[in-house]
Amino acid sequence: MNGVDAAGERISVTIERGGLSCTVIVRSGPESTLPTEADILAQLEVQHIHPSRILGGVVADLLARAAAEPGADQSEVVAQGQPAEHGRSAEFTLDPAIRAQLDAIQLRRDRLEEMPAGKLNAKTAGGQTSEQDAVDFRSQSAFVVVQKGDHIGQIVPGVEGTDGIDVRGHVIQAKKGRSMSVKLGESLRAEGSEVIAQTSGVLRYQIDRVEIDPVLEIRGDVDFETGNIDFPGCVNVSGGVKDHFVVRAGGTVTVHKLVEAAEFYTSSAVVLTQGMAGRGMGRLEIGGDLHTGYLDGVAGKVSGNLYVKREIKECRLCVERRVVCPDGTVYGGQLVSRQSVDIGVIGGPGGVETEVVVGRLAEIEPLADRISHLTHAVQVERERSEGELKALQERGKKLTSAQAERLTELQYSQVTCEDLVGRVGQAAAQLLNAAGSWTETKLIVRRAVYKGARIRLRNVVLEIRDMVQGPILLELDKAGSPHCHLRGASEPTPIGEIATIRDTGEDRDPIVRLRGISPHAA
Amino acid sequence: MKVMLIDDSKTMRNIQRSVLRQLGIEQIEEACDGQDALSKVGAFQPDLILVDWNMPNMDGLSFIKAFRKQDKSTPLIMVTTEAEKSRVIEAIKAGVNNYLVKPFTPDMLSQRINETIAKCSA
Repeated sequence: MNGVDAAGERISVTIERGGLSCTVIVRSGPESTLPTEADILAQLEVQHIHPSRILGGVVADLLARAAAEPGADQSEVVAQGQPAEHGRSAEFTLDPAIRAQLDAIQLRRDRLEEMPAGKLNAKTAGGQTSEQDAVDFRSQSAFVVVQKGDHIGQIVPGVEGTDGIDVRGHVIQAKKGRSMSVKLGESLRAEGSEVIAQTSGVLRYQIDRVEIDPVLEIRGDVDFETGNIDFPGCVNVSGGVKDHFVVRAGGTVTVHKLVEAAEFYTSSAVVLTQGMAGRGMGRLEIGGDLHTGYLDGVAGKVSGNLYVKREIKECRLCVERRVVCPDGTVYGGQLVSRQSVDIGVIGGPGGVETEVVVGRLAEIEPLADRISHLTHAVQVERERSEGELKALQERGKKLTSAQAERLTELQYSQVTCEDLVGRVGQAAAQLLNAAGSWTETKLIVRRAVYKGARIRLRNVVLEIRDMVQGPILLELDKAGSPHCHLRGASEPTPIGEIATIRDTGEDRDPIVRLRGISPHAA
Repeated sequence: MKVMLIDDSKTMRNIQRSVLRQLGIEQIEEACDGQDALSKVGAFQPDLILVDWNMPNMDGLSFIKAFRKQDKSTPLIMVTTEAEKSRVIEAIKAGVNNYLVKPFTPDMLSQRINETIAKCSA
């Protein structure tokens, strides 16, 4: 072996860290076989180390150490690459408050699965456990409901990445940052990096998509799985609503199966495809129309029209507009309607007490009372002062100072009374006009009305003595008197033939009283 | 506009107040006699004064004489049962701008107020 070969034998080149680092080891040996810098560079070239990656001065230092300590191996990193800086994908992070709600919903779901079925008693406060982290399955919703303008989350922008280079001069490809994997639905908008709700509704959060659904779709029943519903938009329930659950909604609510003794508070219409078996505990506060198959044991108020296909049984309902149930029966309870009622049957053969009130103006009655009292008081005052006024005026100029002052008072009183009479008359006319558009005192009974039925046409109370076959039309004329037309006859039938008039209501009928005060009103 | 009502009868003041309100005048001060009026007039600075003649403590004529010593321009309407010509002349000499004899109707009062305001602002 010659000196050059021996020198080469002492050099060892290793490439580490995936090509990012090159180390040269100069093995121990005699001074005569110590490699030169050229020997080492030659070895590096053999290994295809790129000259630009070789660190300046390092080889010389290594050789100097090898010369100084010939008995020990010497090593040094002589070339370095540049690692790639990988990109980072854009991310969507939920608002912490929404994240907490989702966590609570998950906890709720876990607890519900752990609950023995028997513990979920519909009449209890909702399956609460006594543990510290107890979950109220009834009051805690299983949905995240957001309002338009709510902050939903944040977009963390991605980073593209920078390629690296290894010691041989090869490019190390950086992994590129990808665009956000989560797609934002049209119901969300990005304001800079902030994500804001464009609409109110239920938040749908999946691995690859976030959106707000303006309609709450419940596949199944409203029960312990869902908790009570409180939703700003429309709600569509494919199942029913279980006992004691509460549904509040800003939009239309549709329930396809049976509603039990639940409660509904809505701003819009409600459609109960099957019906509601409230068993005396059901409660409705409906802001629009109510369409239903039947109602049983339900109390409440419907601000729109009430449409019933089959039966209204043992209910106490107040309907702000019409009741339309031409093929159905109202049986037991009390049905109050401000406008017309069109019904198949009232009461039943057993003589169950059933009250149907048509054209009732509960809000107007106290106002009509006040107007009547005021009119009366003004008239009394006017009549009283008129006599005294005439007596003083007859004295001509022979008045004492006190009489002159009294005459001034009486004249003022007359002017004031006239002004008041005018204003009260105007108020009565306005009230009558409003009442005219609110009320329609007309009852149509298509098939029969049974004994035990009590019918109230505004303030006129009729009690049906025996079953009467329909069709029957009962209505009030302008003077507030009831009229009856049986089975399509053009001539009216005297009311006394079918019913006992328990109360003529003449002195209390607000419309009649207001017409008396303002006879020229519509 | 600010108006001061001086009359010992609360009812009469109420009638006058009501007529003024119908004319759109809301800033109203009341006094039950001449003395009471003199104690209030400085602070209230009325634009018009309605004053009765016969009142306890200080009658309307004495008030007018005292008031005119310090204020020559604020319009004054005498509202009184004193209907004799000599009395009217006496009041005018003391410094009233207009005169209304009781009994009067609300229309008569409002007419007299409008007349006086128009005359004094011309």
